[in-house]
Amino acid sequence: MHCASGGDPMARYLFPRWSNRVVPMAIVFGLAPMAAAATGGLYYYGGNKHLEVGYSPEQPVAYSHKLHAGDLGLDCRYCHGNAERSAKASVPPTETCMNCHAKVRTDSLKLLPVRESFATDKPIPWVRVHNLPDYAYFDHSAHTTVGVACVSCHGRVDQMPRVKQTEPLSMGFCLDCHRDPAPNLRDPSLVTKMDLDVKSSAVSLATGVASFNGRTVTPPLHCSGCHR
Amino acid sequence: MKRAPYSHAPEASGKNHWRSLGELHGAEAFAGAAAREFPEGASEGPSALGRRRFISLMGASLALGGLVGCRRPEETIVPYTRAPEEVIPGKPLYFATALPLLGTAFGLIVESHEGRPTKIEGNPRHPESQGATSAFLQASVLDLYDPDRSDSPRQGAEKRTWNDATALLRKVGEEAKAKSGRGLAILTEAHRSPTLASLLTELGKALPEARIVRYEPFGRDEAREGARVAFGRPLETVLDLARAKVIVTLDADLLAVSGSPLKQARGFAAGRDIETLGTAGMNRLYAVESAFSITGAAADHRLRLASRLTPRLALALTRELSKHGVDFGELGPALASTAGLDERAERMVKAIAADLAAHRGEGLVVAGRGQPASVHAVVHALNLALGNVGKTVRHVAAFDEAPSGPAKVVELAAAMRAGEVDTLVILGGNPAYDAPADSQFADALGKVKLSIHLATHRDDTGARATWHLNRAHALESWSDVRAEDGTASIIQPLIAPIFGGRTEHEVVDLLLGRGRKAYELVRATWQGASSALDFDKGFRRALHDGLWAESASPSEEVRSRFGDIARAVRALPAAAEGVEITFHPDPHVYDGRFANNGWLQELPCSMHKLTWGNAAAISPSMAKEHGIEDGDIVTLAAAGAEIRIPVLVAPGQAEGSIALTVGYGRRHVGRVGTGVGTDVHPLRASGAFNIVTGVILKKTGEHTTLARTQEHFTMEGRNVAREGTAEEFAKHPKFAKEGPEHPPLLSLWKERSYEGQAWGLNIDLNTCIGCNACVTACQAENNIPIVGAEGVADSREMHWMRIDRYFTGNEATEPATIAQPMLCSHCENAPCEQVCPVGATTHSPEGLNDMAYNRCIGTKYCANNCPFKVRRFNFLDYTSGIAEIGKMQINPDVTVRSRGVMEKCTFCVQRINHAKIDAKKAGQDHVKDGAIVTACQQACPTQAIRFGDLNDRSSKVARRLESPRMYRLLEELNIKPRVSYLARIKNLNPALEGA
Repeated sequence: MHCASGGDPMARYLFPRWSNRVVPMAIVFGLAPMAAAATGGLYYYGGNKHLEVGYSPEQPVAYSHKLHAGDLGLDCRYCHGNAERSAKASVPPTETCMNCHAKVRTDSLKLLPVRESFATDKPIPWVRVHNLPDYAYFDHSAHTTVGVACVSCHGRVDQMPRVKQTEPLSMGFCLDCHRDPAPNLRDPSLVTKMDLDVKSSAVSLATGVASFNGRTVTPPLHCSGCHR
Repeated sequence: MKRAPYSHAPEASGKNHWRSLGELHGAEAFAGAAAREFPEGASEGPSALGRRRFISLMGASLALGGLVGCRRPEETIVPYTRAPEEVIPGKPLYFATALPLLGTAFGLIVESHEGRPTKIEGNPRHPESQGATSAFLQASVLDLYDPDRSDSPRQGAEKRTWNDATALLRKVGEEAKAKSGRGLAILTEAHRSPTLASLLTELGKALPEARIVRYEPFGRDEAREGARVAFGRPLETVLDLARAKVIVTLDADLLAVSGSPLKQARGFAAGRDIETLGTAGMNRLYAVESAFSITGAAADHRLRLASRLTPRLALALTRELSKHGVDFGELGPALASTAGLDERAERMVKAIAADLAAHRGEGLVVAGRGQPASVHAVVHALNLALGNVGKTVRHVAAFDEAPSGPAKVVELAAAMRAGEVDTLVILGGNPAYDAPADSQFADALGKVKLSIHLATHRDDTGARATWHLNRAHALESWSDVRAEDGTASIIQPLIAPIFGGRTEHEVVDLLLGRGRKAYELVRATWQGASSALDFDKGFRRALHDGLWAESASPSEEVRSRFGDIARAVRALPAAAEGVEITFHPDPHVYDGRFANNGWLQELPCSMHKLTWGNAAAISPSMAKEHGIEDGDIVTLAAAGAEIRIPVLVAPGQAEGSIALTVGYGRRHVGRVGTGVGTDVHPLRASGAFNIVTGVILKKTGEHTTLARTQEHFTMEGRNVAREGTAEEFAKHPKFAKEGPEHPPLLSLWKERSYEGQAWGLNIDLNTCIGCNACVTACQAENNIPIVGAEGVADSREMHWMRIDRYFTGNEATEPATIAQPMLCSHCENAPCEQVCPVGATTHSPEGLNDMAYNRCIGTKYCANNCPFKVRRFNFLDYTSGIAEIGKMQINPDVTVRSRGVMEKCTFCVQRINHAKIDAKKAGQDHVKDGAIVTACQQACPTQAIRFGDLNDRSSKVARRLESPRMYRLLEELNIKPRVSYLARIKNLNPALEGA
């Protein structure tokens, strides 16, 4: 492309000559950094680490894990026992709350929705905090059996008055551990211990292969291991 | 690269395989379609989706896109308030029940996810299903969630409550009692429920003048009558195919709808086990039939013969056998007058007779439901005289001896018109649609003052009845049922009635002035019948097992009454000349009851690969004679009635015989079935209920497109379905392994090794009968959507499994067939994986060809590169239109795919993963053989499909690979498919060589 000289009636349709210099500069110093910023921004702000970590919605009942699991020392499995048996850890039925609260703090206002639910047989609509996409088929029981601790994915729930997501739970997060599970493995009888230092209790790794009770732990790395 | 279109060249050897007449005759349209994986315009929207509609849809999706924030929408977790015993969220429970169908009952195990039944399997303890299922059984779970089911009783079109209905029924009962039942008629289906039978008996005693009539469009009335002639009482015939060496079927579709097909298919397959029995020990199946059935397709020798000539053939067979010294007593002289058959048939009769005579006590002859009673009687005589009774054939007491059949309905309709019936209670069934034409039932129904119809839908009958009552589905009711052989099961509900329906037992109990629940009624029946001290324990055991132990009926002693049979034979009218029509239950909708079931509508039928509709099957020579082609609309006229119906040119159809299937063309169905297919009932009168003669066929000049899949996904003439004769196999056992010559197979890539478990699947073509149970089971298990008739015509059907039916031989009129199930082969060097630009399809260390839907961007390269054409693309969004209630059927362990995504068989990876996790939790390193059963394998009635670990030498599938009959498809491409086949071996009779 070239610019026409003066006097040409078509000249008014052409960009001025200086634009030949400015436009490439604008691309290099203007558009490219903006594109880079957009890509980088999306990479950072659009990822699970930013969008998911820290998510802590208000719940219909102000249930405090800090009080129950931390201060009172209830085992995770008192309420989430299905984590050992099924893919789903399950939120407990109202009945489980009432096991204690039929006797304990029977007139607390905070517990009104629980008592109501039990009386009317209407379930409590808890808000989901840790949410994997529907095409990822995570199985709690497979993880707890080999000794992946609750704390590895859910964080120090025993210190949370209101549950908060602490890990990104992205595919990268899953794969980091699936590629090298050893640091997160411990004796399966200790999976619910929140305050145990994961690293120090991890299974010894002399051979570089994670193993438990003589069995090697080989987490799947192929697509259908989790997607089906 | 453009390649030359494939054109079919017939082979001189006669081992010519073709899927359609177009392929056989090298039609241009076929060659053009074969060259493309996707037909032209496959990615266009359906014609109903106009531009305006498209823009409004786009607008809606943009609006949604704008509203959704960065985080995914908030979800709630809704736990139980009080957890039910045994329910662990995420773990299905299994319950035993039974489903009455085809005049018998099938024991089932139903999978239930948190209270919603999602999948039906056979109950291995139940003799009738033996762990297997059929397409009908698999699909009945979808009927449970049919959004068009009726949700309340109605008076006319007005909604009423069950309280109103209860009051009405009580009043009807009281008024009838005052008149000792005069004016009351009750019409039921051909039920086999002991509780209903005892309630109706009680009703009959309380109201002696009430009429109680039973009717079913495909009942066993002729067979009952045949047994009455032969033995003096209506006995049920129970066949044991496993013990039979020579099986002869006369117009009986033993493997699909006749008798107890699943049990018979299992028995047939047991007799084909060539590895155990050797070629000499294998059974031989002769099929004589007018319309091609899967039994005819599985047969070693098939004779196509018009159904009206079958009685003649039965007599000729008897005559031939008496020449072999078989004693038929007084029946002998009656045979002399039998008219002859053509040369081909005579030759077949001679061969069959010699074979039967050589295998006394090891043979079995059976007549079809549509044959007249006298033919059934002659068949009883044959089995008795050959010494088969007590060995391959036994007789048990009939469920009951109450009158039933089309003639009774005609009588009832006449009484209705004459004003003799003022109250009619119809318990199930759809007589306004399917009663014999001469009853004019719909018209007679209008003459009845009060008509009450109990049904799951307000169907053709319900719309005409003064009252409609909504009925509970079999999966939501308490009932009981006896199978053909008498085995009794309790039917238990998997879920409370979704639409508040009730059962026929409860309705009858209300008529009796009571009002007990079905549960109480069923318990009362068995409490009365049980001698056990602890009834509750026995009842719970029966519920758990799915049957009452040792409840099968004992064999009845039968004596030959050849004199009576001879009289019946003499009374047989001479076979009419001219063209006949035979009526068959439809392979999709049975008698019309499955008309609103999308899975069955879209299931390509075994023989014609027709979906979404019915057609008149005629032979290629008849088509030529009339100058008609596939899809041409004709009129069929017989006995003063006429229908218009498209024609389907069916290789193997008998000359002078037109096969019609019943069940289509209903007017009140629902969103799936309304307006689909043609009603053929106007031609079906009680006098000629199964075979009509004197039919006139006329061309109309109009044409329609039949949604047939036979030319879809063609294998382009490659020798993929391999078969040989027993003789060939004995001489050259490895014949199936012969493929095209090829250079040494070397890979460009470093080939994988499989250290742990290596999944593989094998299909035995010798026992595969092409019944479609696997296809439907796969659809139910893997959330496979339906695409509609137009979609099928565009080759967009989504089935992960298809059954290729090849005709063989060079004759269009008289072919043999072979069925070959095709599914993803999980090739070790998979061509699809090599072309995926985004790594959406990759290989697992255990040899699965994985498909990550979320990575797929829909280039369709993989499907283009798949030599087996087993990949399916979601051209449109087929799933979000599913009604809310329909979503309850969805298997939670399998992803629901959306538009623009490729999908295919996963080897049921969800079942593999569950088994692996269970093994891991139990501390095992390996999944044990048999712990993983794929959906297709589980459904298969003949156990033709085996799945397991190829690295485990002792696994069932690995042992199959050692068979000399084992072959893999397209081995010359070095793709190393994990699916292998066992070649089919036909056990031909040397006396019929060249026939």
